[in-house]
Amino acid sequence: MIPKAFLKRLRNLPDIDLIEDLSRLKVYESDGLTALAVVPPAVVLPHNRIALEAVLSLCHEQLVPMVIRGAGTGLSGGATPLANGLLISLAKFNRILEIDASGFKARVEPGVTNLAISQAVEGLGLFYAPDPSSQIACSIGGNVAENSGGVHCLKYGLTLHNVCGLKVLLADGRLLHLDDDQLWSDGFDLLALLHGSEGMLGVIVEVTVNLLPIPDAVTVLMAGFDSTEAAAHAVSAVIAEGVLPAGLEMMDRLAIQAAEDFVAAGYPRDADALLLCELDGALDDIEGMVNRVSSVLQGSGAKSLARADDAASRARLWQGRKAAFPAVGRLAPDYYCMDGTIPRRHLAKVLAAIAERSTHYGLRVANVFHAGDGNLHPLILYDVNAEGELKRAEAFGADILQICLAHGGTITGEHGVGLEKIDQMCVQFSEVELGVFHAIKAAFDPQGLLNPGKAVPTLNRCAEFGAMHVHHGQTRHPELPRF
Amino acid sequence: MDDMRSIVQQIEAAGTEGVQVCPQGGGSKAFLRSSEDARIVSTSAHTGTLHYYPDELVIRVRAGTRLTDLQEEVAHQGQFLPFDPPHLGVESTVGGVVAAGLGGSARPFWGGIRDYVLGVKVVLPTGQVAVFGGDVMKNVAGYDVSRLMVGSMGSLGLILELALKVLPAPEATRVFTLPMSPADAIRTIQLHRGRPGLSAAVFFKNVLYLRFSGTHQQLAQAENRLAGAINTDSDEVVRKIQNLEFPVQHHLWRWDASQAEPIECSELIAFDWGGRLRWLDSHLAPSIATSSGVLTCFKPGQGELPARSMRTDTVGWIQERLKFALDPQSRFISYPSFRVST
Repeated sequence: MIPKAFLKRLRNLPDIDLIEDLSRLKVYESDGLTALAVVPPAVVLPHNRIALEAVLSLCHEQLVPMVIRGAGTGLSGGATPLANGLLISLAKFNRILEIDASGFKARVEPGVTNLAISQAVEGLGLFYAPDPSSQIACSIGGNVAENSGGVHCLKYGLTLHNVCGLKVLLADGRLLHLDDDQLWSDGFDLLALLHGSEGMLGVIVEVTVNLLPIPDAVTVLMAGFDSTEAAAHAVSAVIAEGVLPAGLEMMDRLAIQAAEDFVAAGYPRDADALLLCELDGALDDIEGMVNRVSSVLQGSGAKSLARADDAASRARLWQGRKAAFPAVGRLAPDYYCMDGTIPRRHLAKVLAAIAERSTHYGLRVANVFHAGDGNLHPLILYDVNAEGELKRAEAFGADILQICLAHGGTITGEHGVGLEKIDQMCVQFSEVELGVFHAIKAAFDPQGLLNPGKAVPTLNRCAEFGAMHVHHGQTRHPELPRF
Repeated sequence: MDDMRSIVQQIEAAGTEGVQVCPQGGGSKAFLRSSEDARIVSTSAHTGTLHYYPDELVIRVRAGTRLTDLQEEVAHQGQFLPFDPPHLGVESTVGGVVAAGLGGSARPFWGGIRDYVLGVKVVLPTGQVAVFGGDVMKNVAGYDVSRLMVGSMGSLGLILELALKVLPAPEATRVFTLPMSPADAIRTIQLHRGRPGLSAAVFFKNVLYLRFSGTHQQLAQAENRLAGAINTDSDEVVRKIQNLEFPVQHHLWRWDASQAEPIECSELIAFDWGGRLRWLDSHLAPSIATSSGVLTCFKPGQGELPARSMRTDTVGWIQERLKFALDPQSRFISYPSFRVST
């Protein structure tokens, strides 16, 4: 609950939309982690920065906790509302403020969608590189807060590598302006620190992104393999060849079959593993690259090899990968998506360990994998209505994260910690390391008003286990491609 | 060689004695520090590669490893460190390079050190050892303390180990020599921005040097565009400017300016980063418009040093709070600000 006196003052602030009736509040009860739903006591949509500053100042003065929400597509509960806090939506901050084509930059408000940036500069021959699969819906502010990835990270980097300036409001409403043109930081690199800070340190109100020239030529290669081991070996061989693909994705047998049944992308049904390799560059360069990579793939035991050069056939090959999640979702009433990263050399061992756990729990698992950078998305299939299956799926998921950690990996590659993995943080980090995180939080937000309870566990909470599960595909906006 | 135990003991002992700690690698950038009365704790005996998986593009090294040794090791595998930092002395260590956070000439084109740091192991000011990040490209668990350490100048902890991302080395390199005025140089750079393979745009003594690194096809294209310009496959001249191997009469000033800031300035002796990083030689604080960017006294020469100023904006306030949060007892040196105006 929120103090009545606070709400009364909030109602009097200019230039805001305030939502207080239950039916409209329900819209905001969760982000992409729909299993965790909390109807917020109130939602505010400030119209501009001055109004947002006033809201923050009031919350700060009255010690009312805040959760900042972008597009609400996050998958780890970073924007799950608080029962005793105000949900602040930045949906109205949706303007592209400036496009500097000669400087290869764009300055935008945080609510602008990821894809809208690339669309706005396409006519200038430019694009914004990071492309999380939810890019038609997710907002750039949320991308910064989560340090979002996508399928093109291997070559083009994460959000962090493609943002050169931020304006951030601190919990008390003060403005932190981190250079729009930053190549060197006088003092600590706060721009880096804000990336992936999950709404805990400040409210992002403006983002300056770097733009890149659209490559002249793009080709997608698709190779089928007899085993995931052979496919993993092929990934290493491609990189050892000295070629840096724009994207390098792997799917296992169950994921291939499900995708093919769902969208008929033309995948080889008899393959145990599939690689999609996107190459881009100058017209003069592409053919040489394609030839080199094709022979590496064949030399690594590819049983089938296909290429797509024009946009339509490339899109068809990608469609199966992008639709892998809803496709797998058709195989069972529920699935639970994991997001671990491992050093790729351990892939075969990790997949074997996951398969062993799959047998142990009696639950099927499909694997899709950002193979180039080791980011694994196992999908555990279960039925929430079958006695004990949810519990087993959650235990299986916890085991997978432990397997990733045991092989030198991490509990989250790109979805963030949020509420979902807050307990696994206790496994990945020591008390000393968690202490550093708490100290950083306190430096920015001494009252702990921004997104309390997320991302970093308190030392005495390291016990429970939270989970994402998607029941009968009832995720918010199921039509959106994800992951 | 593993020297962690001794390093931790030295930090603990300094804590007990109430002496401030100043981490140091090879000491090649010691001029960047304020002259505080602190005890040097050196990482120079903590050396060696812990693991290197070329086909995963990741190397993990102990911080005292020499930069030249690291660059040689990855070059053997046809790879390189894209952030290619300035070499300010052969004794320069990887830990020192990361702690100082200075980017080389490729900074605007391939990114800075922070873009290639994946993980760190550090000794915190308390003497406790902590690990952040990891050996993987994608990792969003916890705040990004690894990258916070980049450029923190040893004020937040001592870096013991680093995991770095490496990339396949370019096939070839070509440097084009273009004599012209600074203002013309800026205009020429603008014409080539975004062109494939551009990896340095530096200026010294009325000559613009454009370096292209990439595939043979990319270099051939660059040669077509710059037909007639003298060119060579050695980038020694670019490196000399990047490494500050030019004579300076007075203090060497660094002006981090925006692209739009006019380049004309009587004290200008060189610029790098396509005009964003400007080197000035002056006895007094140079008379430039600093409406944008930061002016710092980078390398003191003979004579009195100008007064420094701390930044007084919200960013400066948060910086101080961060330092206090991670080192409340000031057991480690403070961040040395050389800024003279904001």
